Amino acid sequence: MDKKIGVYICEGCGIGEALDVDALKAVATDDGVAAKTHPILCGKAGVEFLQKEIEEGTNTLVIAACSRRVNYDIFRFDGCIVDRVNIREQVVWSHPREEFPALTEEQKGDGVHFDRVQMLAEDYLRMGMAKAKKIDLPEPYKPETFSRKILVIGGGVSGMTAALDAAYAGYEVTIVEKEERLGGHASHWRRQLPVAQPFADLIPPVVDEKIQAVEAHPKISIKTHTVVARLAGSPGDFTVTFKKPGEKIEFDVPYPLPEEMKVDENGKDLNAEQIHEKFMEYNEGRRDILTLDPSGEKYGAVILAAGWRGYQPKAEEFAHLGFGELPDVVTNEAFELIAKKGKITRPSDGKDAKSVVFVQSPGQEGNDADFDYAGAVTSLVSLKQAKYVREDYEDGRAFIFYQHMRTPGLQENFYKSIQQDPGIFMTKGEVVQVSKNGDGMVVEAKDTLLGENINVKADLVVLATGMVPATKDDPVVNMAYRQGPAFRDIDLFNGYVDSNFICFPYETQRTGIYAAGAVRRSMTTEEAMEDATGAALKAIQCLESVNRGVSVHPRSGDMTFPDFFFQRCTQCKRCTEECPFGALDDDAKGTPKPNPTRCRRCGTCMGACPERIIGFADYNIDSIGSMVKSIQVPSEDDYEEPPMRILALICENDAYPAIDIAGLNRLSYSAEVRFIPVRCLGSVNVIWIKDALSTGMDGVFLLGCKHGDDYQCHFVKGSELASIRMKKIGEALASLSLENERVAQYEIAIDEYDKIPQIVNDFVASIEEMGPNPFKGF
Amino acid sequence: MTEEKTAPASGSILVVGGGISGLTTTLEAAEVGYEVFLVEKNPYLGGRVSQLNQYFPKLCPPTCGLEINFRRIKDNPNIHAFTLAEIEKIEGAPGNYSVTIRLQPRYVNENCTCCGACAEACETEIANGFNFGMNKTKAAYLPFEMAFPARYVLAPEIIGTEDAQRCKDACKYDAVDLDMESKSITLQVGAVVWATGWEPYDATKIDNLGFGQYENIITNMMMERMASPSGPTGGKILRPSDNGAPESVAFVQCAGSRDENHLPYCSYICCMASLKQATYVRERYPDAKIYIFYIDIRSPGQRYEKFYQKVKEDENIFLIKGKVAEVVEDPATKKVTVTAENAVTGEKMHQEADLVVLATGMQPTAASLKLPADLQVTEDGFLLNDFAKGGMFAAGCAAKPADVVTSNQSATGMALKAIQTLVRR
Amino acid sequence: MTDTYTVEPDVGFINEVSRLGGGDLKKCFQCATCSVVCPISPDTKPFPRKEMIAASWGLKDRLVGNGDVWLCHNCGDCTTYCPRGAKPGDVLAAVRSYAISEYAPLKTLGKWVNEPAKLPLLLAIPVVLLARFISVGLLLTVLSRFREFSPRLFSIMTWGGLRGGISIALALSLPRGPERDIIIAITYGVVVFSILVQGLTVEKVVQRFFSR
Repeated sequence: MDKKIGVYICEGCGIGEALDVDALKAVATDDGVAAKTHPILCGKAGVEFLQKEIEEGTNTLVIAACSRRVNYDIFRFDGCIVDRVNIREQVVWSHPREEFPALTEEQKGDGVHFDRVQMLAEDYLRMGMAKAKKIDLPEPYKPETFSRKILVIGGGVSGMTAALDAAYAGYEVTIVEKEERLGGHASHWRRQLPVAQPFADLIPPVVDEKIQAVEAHPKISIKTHTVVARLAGSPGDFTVTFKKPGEKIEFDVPYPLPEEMKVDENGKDLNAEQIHEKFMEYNEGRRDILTLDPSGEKYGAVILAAGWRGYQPKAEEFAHLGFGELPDVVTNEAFELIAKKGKITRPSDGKDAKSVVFVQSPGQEGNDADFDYAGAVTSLVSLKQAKYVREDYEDGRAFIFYQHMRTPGLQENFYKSIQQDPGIFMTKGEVVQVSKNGDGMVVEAKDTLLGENINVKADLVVLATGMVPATKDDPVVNMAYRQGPAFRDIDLFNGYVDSNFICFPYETQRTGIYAAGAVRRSMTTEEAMEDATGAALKAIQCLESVNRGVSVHPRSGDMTFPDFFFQRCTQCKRCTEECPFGALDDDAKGTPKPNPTRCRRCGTCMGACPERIIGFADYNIDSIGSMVKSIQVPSEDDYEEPPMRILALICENDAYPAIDIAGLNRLSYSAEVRFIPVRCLGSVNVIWIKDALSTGMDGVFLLGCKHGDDYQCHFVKGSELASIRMKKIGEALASLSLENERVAQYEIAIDEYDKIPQIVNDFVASIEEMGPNPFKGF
Repeated sequence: MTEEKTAPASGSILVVGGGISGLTTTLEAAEVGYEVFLVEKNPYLGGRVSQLNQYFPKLCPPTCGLEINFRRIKDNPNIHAFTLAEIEKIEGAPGNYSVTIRLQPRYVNENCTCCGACAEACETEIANGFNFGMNKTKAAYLPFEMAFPARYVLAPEIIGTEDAQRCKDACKYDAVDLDMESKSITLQVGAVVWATGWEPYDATKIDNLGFGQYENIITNMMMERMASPSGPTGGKILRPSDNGAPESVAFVQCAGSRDENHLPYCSYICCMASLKQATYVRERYPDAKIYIFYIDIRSPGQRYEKFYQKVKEDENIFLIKGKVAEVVEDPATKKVTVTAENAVTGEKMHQEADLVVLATGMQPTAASLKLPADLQVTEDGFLLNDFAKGGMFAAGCAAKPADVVTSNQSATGMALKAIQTLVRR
Repeated sequence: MTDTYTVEPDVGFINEVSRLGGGDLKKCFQCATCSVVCPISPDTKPFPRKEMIAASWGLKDRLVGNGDVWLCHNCGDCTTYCPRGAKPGDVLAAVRSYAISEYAPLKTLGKWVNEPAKLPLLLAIPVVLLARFISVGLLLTVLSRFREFSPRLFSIMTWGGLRGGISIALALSLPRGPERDIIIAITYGVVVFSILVQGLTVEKVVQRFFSR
């Protein structure tokens, strides 16, 4: 793009009063660019003025005014690059003249005094101009092949609901189900929980009408007794290989080598070559991930609705409850199967089970949690199953021992309705022991609401075990991605394929693959159906975004994508391994193969690359590097006691807004810090820190979101990766004889704007203690 | 942002309510490519979640997600959001609705730079509704720091007074427009999603729990505001009677929920909210004693369970099964004694606390407000979805009491249902 | 350690308590609001929450012999405040009725005392007798200025007051309505009692009085 740069400085909101605007203009003219001012740039007259400038040829506007977060629509000009330089919230509002007085006439140019605020504004303008020269308007990435078909993995209630919803919106869908018939678990139920208001009564399983609807719909094709062997490609262009369950085919996806096999007999780590050999052996007969299956089918997006399996207690796990030893102690899943077949009878001798005890919590050591993976489903299921006992036997009795009846929200109505049955008895209590008692059993419970320890004679005991997601045992989706066939880091979620975001429940680490139903969380049929509809929308949205060449959440609508200068790639594989979304696969040599539609545009790859070959059209090593190098670093040549110069790389998602709000509240902090917003701390390349230190800046800190189990990072690993890289930078600093503490990383949440002054000032103080950078002035 | 627009019925969706559910439906549908009109009655988007200090179980700030959503709105020209707007009437059939929207005047136009000069000049103070009346704000105000749209509002009470003129004179950018009038616009849309959300149940109706009678009894939403750094106390949790630090806090669960006399259903979130608020108290007062009186602790799902177990580990947090049904104030100290029977030990306990928090439930907006459209509403005020008929759908807490995760799932799903109506016309 | 109590729910008991007016007892979810709002529930052995669960579980033996049930004076606060509408006040009243019929020497009489239809009838008989005694007594006392009457006359004239057609006719002449039905029932009851019981025994009573 042939750029004609224009610099426009707004004098409103206190800028004109606080700064020497002429001196600011001079910064631009020194660089050969004409700068113009306007009293209120965001007003009608101001916008008209800018539009006139654009008509006269300016196509790159550097606007020094308020934050990029406000007036975004006013300063949006199609076809032009707009670079917003924040001299309002980050300069004038947060550095009031009462605290940072302007210079008097005598003080100007005396070599002792300097106007910190003016220097701050001038630096920001320099940085804005430096950046504007290095960025470009993006061109959207349009994949060569594009499929609008949606693949639904799992033919249970969730999968079928997702398929129907996508089909009703006009999309072609394929359901793939591993069993011989559709229906999933719901087909094995006698009856099910209500799915609509008033949520009071049991209903026949909805699965049957779903199956009918699915089979009748022209846009839905069904593959039963089939699983996904390999899912290769990227959103909009997935190539899927199917196979029969248990089959072994050449396009089975290669599995990563298990940790135990990465060491030799003596426990020593194997080297890369040896590991590769073992990997090839381990995956003998399987094609590598970059080979496309010529007979694979094309899909655009995937919905993972693989469901759950009942929890199988380990041996001795519930010995006190008699499980494993007494044949009449069963799980709720087994009980449901018994109920589906006919009247409820005891597994041991087939006799009538008229007195059934339901145990919600395994207890032990006063633990009041339900069984693992129970969620808030097993309480409802026990109520349902208690009703079965009463339906089968007029003199039947069902006892429910719970710690908490988990029937939240409108499910409370179901609890109220089932409670009314005279033959169902419920109490809070801890079941201590289930033991044999003649033909039957006796259940002993303590800490009950009856005020004493009680014994109940039982014909059958049902343990309310939970719903284990299918992905705990098996990758299921079998992605042919370098990072592995399964979703990563789901141990954090006990095997569920969930997102760690409360506000964005569907955004997992794999773009284009959305989870629905019990594979995400223990849920009831009603919740699963609602979840499936949402997942179907996300799949459709992904398709349409890919079609327009833009990114999905969180940088929705972003047209940039990472560009690689492969000539200088050294195949170190850091980008491939660190990408939070598995967007990069590598070939046999180790050269990364980008998959732009998997990419979320965070820039982690850019931050990881030691050769700095990765960049985006409007965000690259050079654009930020130039900003850093354009910062003026005064030395003793300029002033007796030159001020410190600190670079702060700040996450634009959480830290930047917090700093803006600090400015809005007129909280002031040191004027020695220059903020540069980055897309994610993960995209911070250490070269920028080296650049800052080698130009003589005294310290660098990174400010971003919290990492750890409750991570806030919208790109999952950004701040965590940055903190790891910062630790490694210690070596580089030592080689320059610079203290480790000159580089730091701080965590901040978006609402912690009140902490900004302290974080900034404390860091500046610590740098002042260390003294200036010895390389300053060279 | 305020534009008059008539869109062809083929491609547009109306979302009523700009809380987290409404925002989610709007964004998800717009990012598929449809045009969406968002109508919100408050002068800001974000709804109830913007009044929360943190979400459970991650204890993360709601503004984090809201910021991303607002950015997505900023980047998406498909979205037309109207604040201070209410639906007057909706008529028509699935695929073709005629909507009349009434826009109330903000008295501040798009020139506003959030400089705050009008607020400084204004002398009238009004009760701050955002903080449930716990403090006052000037009659020219920014609803809260991260309010979006970032624009001040003038309270209608001062229009016509000298104060309003003072505000106008103080504004250097000619942003105060005292002549703004309420006006009506009509839109043609194909589908409507109702995300009208909820209100905290009026705790004064629970006569045996002393709210409104005794100063040191507050509701859970008031606690959220107190704990927020942008709230009436700057983030400090203080006893209303003397602004002192509480050494003991009692949480009363199911205050008005699971109660045939008030809200017969369970409000889903209050158990988790109280556990979360217990962490707020603990963060500020490491030695405070916290008592949580419950009927059943509802922490549905693995992650909420983990959070509950973690909170339970705190030695100074006591969980008692037994509903508080009586409160008595000591007139000298203003401490409140709550009475409950510990149902497991079978003994009544009278626990004195410096501060009592009633975990009041959520009541859907449609319970007290008749929505101007042909909708099916249950006795409790929840909207019923009729997917076969289509056209209009309820998302989030307008349909059932739910947490933020479930509301967002529901909202995403309803975006698709709305799209289906457009496609199947 | 206390002995462990082996639970044997008696569903018949639950149904009976329901029938006796505690029909909503199963709605209880053990929140203990009732124990707190009850003005006379003590701290160490509060009620009626525990009684509610005992009733829900059909634990007759934990209720019928339970003295706490009788401390209740039926103020109804627990019923007013019960969040589930389980009406603990009514349940306790029903348990008391059940207890009465359990302990009553004449089981039928015990049952009748509990029935809303039959109780007014049972009460009417002594009330009518008392009314008779008063009216006869007043008259005789006035007339005893002029004549001497044996004191036994009071008893005989009271017991000999048979009711018959006129009472029934008067009852039947009332306008239609629910009160009419109950009055007719009571009238019939009293009439039948007076004819059968009083009538058939008046001979013995007279004999006894005059044989002395």
